[in-house]
Amino acid sequence: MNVTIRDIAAINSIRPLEVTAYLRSKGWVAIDDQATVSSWILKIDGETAEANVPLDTTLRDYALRMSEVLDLRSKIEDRSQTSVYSDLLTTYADVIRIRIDDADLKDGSLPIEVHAQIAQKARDLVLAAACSATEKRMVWHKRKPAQAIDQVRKVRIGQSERGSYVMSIISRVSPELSNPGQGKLFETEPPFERRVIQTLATSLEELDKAAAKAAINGSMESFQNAVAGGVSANLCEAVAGFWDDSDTDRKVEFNFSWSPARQIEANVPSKIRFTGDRVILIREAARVMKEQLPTEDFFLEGAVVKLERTDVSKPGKVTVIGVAEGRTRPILFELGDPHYSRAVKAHDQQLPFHCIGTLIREGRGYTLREPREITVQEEN
Amino acid sequence: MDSNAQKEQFSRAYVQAVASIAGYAWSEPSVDEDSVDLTLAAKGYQGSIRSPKLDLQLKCHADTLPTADFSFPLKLKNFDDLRDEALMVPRILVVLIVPDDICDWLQHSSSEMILRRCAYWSSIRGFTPTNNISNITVTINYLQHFCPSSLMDIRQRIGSGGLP
Repeated sequence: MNVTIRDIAAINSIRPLEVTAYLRSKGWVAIDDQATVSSWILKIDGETAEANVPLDTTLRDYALRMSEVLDLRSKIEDRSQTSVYSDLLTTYADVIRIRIDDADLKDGSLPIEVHAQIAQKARDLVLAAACSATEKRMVWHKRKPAQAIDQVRKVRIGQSERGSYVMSIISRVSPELSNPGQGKLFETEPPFERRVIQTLATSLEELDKAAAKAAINGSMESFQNAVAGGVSANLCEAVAGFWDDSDTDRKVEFNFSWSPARQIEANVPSKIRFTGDRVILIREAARVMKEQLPTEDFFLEGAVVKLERTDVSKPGKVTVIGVAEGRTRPILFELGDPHYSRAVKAHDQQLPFHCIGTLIREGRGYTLREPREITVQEEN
Repeated sequence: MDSNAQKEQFSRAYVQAVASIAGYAWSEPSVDEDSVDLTLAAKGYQGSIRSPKLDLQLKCHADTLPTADFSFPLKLKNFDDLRDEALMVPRILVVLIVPDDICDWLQHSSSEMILRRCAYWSSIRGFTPTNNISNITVTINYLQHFCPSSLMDIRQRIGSGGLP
């Protein structure tokens, strides 16, 4: 299908320096650079094609001139304008195409509820990778690194593509600068935006391998080992979120297209495919990881703010405002007699309450299991 | 086909005939650009600009043969698009005058084909903006014919980095 893009706003969104970078990557040679135009030639079959790229987006004929470049490339590369357009928009970007292969989605459409769920999980996926790019952790709770949050804000969703259902995630990446004769100008690590997408690719591969091992040995160990490779409970939940409970036949494929403006390391995978049989393991791994917070012998200190006991023959529920993982939060636990009466005293007399236990995150809240060494400040 | 559509098509045919003689290839804009009807491109030119281009806005008007400079009304949008200096490719206005009766526009025989009246070109680049709300009248030089020789001269000028 050869579709011509007539929409001026769409053409205006093409950035000139991305076009010139793309032309360079396709073998075009710059012959002249002026303030408002960059001229490029390409020799094909003894003939010379010429492309004049407008450099100033404020030119009144910017869209018209850029559409000529698009049209020329479309003819030379024998591809649709929409395909060339898509490439031009992502010259300085890493693109992740998430392909959901499901018999129900063969026509390329998606139920609206499923679409909303998938969009959310795609965001969670990038956020999990961005967190892991800052530090490898088993679980990331509410408080995520600011750098990771910022990066997620910069990531965009492209137009969906045909082929079962394909969602594209676009992450812009700054181009690599080289110094002819001396290799790279600066031998530094890649920029954060590239590290995030690279982490996503490697951690998805690690996750797939860990799930395969867990299916054989029935152990969490492979998932725990994969944490060093960027796998986290958050990543597991995001990946599992591409299926619902009944979707075991669904296959999900992650394809990575790396920006031609920056080299990618050789060992970074570009394609990872998850089959439905992995999901149940990945989902369970997420749950277990979240429960495996390193909080044994957690020392809780704070004010009792809530007491609840409907039957005196059973333990009562106590809520203490204490500090967990660097933040003040309500922590819930149960106390039987005689400890419950101490909590009541601390509450009524506004005395500081102390105890030790195992801190566990449950849903959105924190729970202290096996509370012991319970003291109220006045009692010391 | 209504008479306006006929005039539009006839003006395109006229310009394409002239451009062919002057050595230009023509193309229609592939985006929704209502102030450019045709783009002419002279490929392989050996001036400072390898492939000079020229954007044209075409108008066709039925009238008697002008014997002096004449006024032509333009929509404000067209006027602003033509007078703008921030353009990569220069633009000109081409006004084709045709006889009132469409039967007189073209005469054909085995020895010749005659297109009656003539087209004129004008560059209004750099004109000062107007306070008019919808239209503005511009003056067309009746000696500035849009013909193969004038188009070749234009190519010479813009190919050397100048203006039409």
